[in-house]
Amino acid sequence: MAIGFDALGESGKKEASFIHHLALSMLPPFLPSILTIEANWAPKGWPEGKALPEASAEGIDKVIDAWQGLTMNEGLIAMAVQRAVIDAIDEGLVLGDMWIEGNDLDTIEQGLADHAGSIDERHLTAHMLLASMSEGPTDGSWNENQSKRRYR
Amino acid sequence: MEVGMRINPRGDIADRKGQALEIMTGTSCGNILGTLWEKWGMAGLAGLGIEGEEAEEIWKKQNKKPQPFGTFLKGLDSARSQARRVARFPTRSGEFSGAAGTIHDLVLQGLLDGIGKAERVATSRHASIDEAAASWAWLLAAGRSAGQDWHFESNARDRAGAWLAATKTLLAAGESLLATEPDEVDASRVEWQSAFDALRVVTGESI
Repeated sequence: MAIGFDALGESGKKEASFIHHLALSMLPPFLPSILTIEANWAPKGWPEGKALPEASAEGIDKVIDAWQGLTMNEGLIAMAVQRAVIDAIDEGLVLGDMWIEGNDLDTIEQGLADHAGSIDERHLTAHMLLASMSEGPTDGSWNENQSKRRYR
Repeated sequence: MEVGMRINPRGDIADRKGQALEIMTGTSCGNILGTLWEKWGMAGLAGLGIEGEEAEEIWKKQNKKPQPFGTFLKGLDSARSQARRVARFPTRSGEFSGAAGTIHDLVLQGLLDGIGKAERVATSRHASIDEAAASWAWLLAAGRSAGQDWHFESNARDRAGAWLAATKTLLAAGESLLATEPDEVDASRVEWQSAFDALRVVTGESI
């Protein structure tokens, strides 16, 4: 059986969750002993056939375990799975729920389409992101002062 | 250990385990720019075709007194023009102390930001006789002294008299540097530097 994350996300707080229904109707058996739940998600733009980092599968397993163990709100499953995958990505540029390699100006600019700002702001942002990706955003040279700067 | 970086919707940055750059959903371009400006602003300006001293002036100004990037970009043409004017000078405001430094800064401010702004600075409270004298010297040289003498003690005005000729020369060199053709800028820069050196001699601040 396949269940879309969208459907899970739509269950309101007042409605009993799907997994609760399923679990309660099956008690006393422990859910994982009678079924295996698999979840998959990859960011938009992630190359087909390219394996996600191992840590993403571990993260997803933890979320599913929590769901089966009735300790995680069903409405949060989709977000938690996405977070687990995104946190595990160890290369490129992640823009919201999209992944790009980050070595091409036009692709970065297109990827910023959902981020608020004028065309000029988006263009300048793309140039700076491209520069940061070329130089390597992960060289550890950021400091706390930079994180506290504000330009509004 | 190398780490990745995450920019959240508020524009704050944090380390992340995976070595990727992550811009979280809902983060505006303005907040991304704000976070990246200090380190990659020059590269961003280069992407817009603005490089060299001109880019450095624009970068520095936005770094020192950040304005919203929408406004910054709308004013980029005038910022570029101003940066080009600033870049013509071999010296920078705030670079020198003492009376010669005060005169230098007033001359630059008058030429680059407008004489009214410099006049307000010149007639504001002064921390020392030398500063007052320097301000009076600039007001005289710029022809803005009429009715302003009551701001200044007589000994400050007397001291300014000795600096007036050198101040006028510096002001003229600055005007010439701004007006000169691009291929003659180097010669005008030398003139400016000589005028400033001469001013430092008459104010007794020459090394």
